[in-house]
Amino acid sequence: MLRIENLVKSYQNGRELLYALNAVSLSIDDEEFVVILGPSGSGKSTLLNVISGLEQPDSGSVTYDDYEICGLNQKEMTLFRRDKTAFIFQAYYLLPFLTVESNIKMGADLKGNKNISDIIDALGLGGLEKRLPYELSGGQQQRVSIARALAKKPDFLFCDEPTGALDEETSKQILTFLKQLQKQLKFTIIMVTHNASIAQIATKVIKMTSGKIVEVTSNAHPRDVNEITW
Amino acid sequence: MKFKKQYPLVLVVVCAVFICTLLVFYLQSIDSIKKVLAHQNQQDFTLTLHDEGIITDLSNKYSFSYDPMTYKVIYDEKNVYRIMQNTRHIDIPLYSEGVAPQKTTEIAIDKNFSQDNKLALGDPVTIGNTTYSISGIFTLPDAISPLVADNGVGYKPTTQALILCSEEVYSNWDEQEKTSYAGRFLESVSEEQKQTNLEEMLMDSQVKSVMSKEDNPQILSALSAKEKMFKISLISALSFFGLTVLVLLITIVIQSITEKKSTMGVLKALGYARIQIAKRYFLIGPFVLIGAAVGYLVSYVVSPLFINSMNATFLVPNVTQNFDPVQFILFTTVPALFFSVMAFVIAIFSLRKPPLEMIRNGTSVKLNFLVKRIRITNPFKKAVFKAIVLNNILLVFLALLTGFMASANLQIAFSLQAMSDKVSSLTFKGSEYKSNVRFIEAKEMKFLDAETPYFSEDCKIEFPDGGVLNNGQFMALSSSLSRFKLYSIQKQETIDISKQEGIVVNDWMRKKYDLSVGDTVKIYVNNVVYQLPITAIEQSVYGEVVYSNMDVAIHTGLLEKEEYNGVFTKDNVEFDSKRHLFVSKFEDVLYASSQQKGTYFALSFLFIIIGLALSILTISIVMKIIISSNRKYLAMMKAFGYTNLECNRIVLSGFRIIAYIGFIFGTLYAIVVTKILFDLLAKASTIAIPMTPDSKAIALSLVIFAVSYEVIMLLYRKSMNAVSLQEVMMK
Ligand SMILES: Nc1ncnc2c1ncn2[C@@H]1O[C@H](COP(=O)(O)OP(=O)(O)O)[C@@H](O)[C@H]1O
Ligand SMILES: [Mg+2]
Repeated sequence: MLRIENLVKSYQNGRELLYALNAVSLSIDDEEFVVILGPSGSGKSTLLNVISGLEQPDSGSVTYDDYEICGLNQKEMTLFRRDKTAFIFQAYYLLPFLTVESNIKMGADLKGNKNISDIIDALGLGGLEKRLPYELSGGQQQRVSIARALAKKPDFLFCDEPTGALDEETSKQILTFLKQLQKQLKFTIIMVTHNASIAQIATKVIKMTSGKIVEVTSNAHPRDVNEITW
Repeated sequence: MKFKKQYPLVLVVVCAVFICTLLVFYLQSIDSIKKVLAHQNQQDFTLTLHDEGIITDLSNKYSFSYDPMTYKVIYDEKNVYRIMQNTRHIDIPLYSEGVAPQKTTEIAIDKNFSQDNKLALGDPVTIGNTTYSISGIFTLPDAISPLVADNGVGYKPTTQALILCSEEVYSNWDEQEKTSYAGRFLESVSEEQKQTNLEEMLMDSQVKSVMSKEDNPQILSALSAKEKMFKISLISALSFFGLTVLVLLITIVIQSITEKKSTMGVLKALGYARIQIAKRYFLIGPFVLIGAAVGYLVSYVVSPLFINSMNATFLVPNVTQNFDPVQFILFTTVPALFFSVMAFVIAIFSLRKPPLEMIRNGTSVKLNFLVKRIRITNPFKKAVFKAIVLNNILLVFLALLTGFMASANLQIAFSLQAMSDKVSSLTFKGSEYKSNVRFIEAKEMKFLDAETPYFSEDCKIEFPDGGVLNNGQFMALSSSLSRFKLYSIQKQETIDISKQEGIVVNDWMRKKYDLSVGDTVKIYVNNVVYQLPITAIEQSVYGEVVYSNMDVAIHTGLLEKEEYNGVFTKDNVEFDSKRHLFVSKFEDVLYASSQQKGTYFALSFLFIIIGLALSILTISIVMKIIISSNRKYLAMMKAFGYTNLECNRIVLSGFRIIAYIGFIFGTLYAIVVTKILFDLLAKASTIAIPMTPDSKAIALSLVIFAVSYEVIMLLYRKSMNAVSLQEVMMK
């Protein structure tokens, strides 16, 4: 159970303060698929960063099963991320000089996880282990990045526009993998996107404007990926 | 092109220009000394004769003009003075202040004595009971490291003075007069002819000894041998220095262009021409210019200190450093131009790719001269390191250089420093008379405490390879009373002189003339030649003495009967000019060699600077490149939960091993270079310094290197910790 209360995060924008998060409160149950929607600049990424412990808010609290992460020092924060979270980035950030296998190990090593072949198979990467990232398509790279994230067995997977750089078909493929693996491995997904269609597959949809949550919709019966259109 | 980004470039340039300028100034100063001396009607050789009456005949025979170099040595309570008349035609004194003494109340003193005793023109100087006033301060072209005393004590500028005075003053002193001749070939004699004349004179039976100016440590050889050595050591250090500097600068430029690649790609996509984009890299010029100017000015300030300490033991005219605008411009604009053009060319070159590709690849490291596919099955940490290493041969090379530079230069520096100590200790090691006196008693021979009496005679020695040692000394030790022991390095044992059936030569002679046991040498004493085999080699690294025993001397015919003119003793004999001709003490030899320290200190200082500066710069640049080209990935790893320390270990630590491997290479290199250096020195001078790897120097270099390396790593660790998560944040 993830509980967010009264989060405020501001940035100095020239002379005035810009509130990227303005008193945001929210709670997310375990194993939910949360999608955060909103126009560009509405504070989605900031919210994701604060929840995931990449950034400290000005005030407010973020608690994971009663463990408060706001106010932790850098080291404690690192250990928290190491233990609980994983990330998928729009730009993949695979280490360009490492093979697929080594890239996945980057995640696995953090938790001392020796067996990575299951996750490689689960993402259909079998046979590509020895390739370097530049030898893969965008979709394949994003799958490697999912494998890398899940190889560390996170409780929470944070994704910022994970399909932002991919075409419709590949995006759907990625989302299918994500949903499938979530069911199998049981973790919570919190995903930022500007693509409203993706909201249909989520269990909870959060809409943001100007640093505020304007709407939270729970979806008891999320659709399957192949049922949605872009 | 922000200045902050260019600071390593500026530093490298400062360092390079600093060293080069220092070198130029030093060589210039030697040149200017030579030039000054060139106007003083310098001698071609020094001559001593068996019979002074024949000098005119000889001068006609070999076409030279000459000047008798007469002098008297005066000892008073504190000081020793070598008094000469101011009537020289050859080796004319060079007055830095004042004029030659004219009146009977005047004398001129040498520059070092005046400096060390703070004596100025007009000040009184009391010699014996007479007080003179100083009319001039001079240096002599034939007394670069002057011999003042004649009792074996080395040159001490504070208590030993060269004095020039009028004929009248000179004749008032009734000390025994010593004469040799300075000779100068007539203008009409060709260089070749000079050489043959010298060779003939060398073997002329009427000539006791002749020493050409090249062989005379009093004249130019001291300086030119030093210069030679200086050049050799500098070339060995500078060859790597130059290479590293070039590699570093090119790396920095490539790196800064690579960092801008995606921006350049965008510009190109917008329709800017290649030249338009690349031409701003000319802006690197001003930064290089600033760096070069700083480097030049720093060495302009430092060079007098440097040159002075190099010349500390010499009596040479002061060298003034004039600001040379042409040189300044040359040293600043040439590198500036070179690097602007280079940056421009590299920029043009990297702009040849299509814009889209540039935008996409902008962030990845493109220094990969040798991209290797890495197939690693071990954990991620090792994989990262291997990948970084294998993908960046240049970085590996630089990391190797880091250790190499530090160890090679530090160790060469330390061996130079240790050199003078080594010389004196090695000379005396193995001799039973380590800490004691040897003297020649002038009047009657009286053996003290039954120590070792000897017979010593000046001689010429001709070696099998044709080399002739002109100022040799033949020494026959008592066969029955010999406690004098020499040590053989080859055999690792003491040489029992009484058992020798030939002569013992020293290690310097062995190196210089390629001698080995069994060779026969010719010894010329008073024009008679005696042939003697070499039966042992003792370990002294300098000295022109060959030893045998009395039996051998008599058997060969060198002596008719047992006779002695000197004795080695352990008694502490004080020199007394009425009784002794010569007393030499261990302390004096030590003092003389410690005088050389200035030279080696200055040289080794230079090496330490080159070594450390380059090493630190190189590793800084390696770290900077690794961090700046991997920022995104570092941030990503941190987001995933790798701690700062882990990131640091994974990405940076591996270079430590490489740097230390470089250190080992550097150590080997230093050993080889010092060996070559000292061998060359043995050939070119009168000393052979054995080169043994010095574990203390290696350990000290290692400590210095390790400390500076870790400090730099610590700094870069901070800069790596500062890579913020922001750089990967989901925006
Ligand atoms: N590091 C920052 N410094 C200054 N302003 C920032 C920073 N990060 C985000 N902002 C501002 O905060 C607001 C919210 O940004 P963000 O969370 O990235 O929005 P979104 O992801 O919804 O597009 C924007 O107006 C953005 O300009
Ligand atoms: Mg965003």
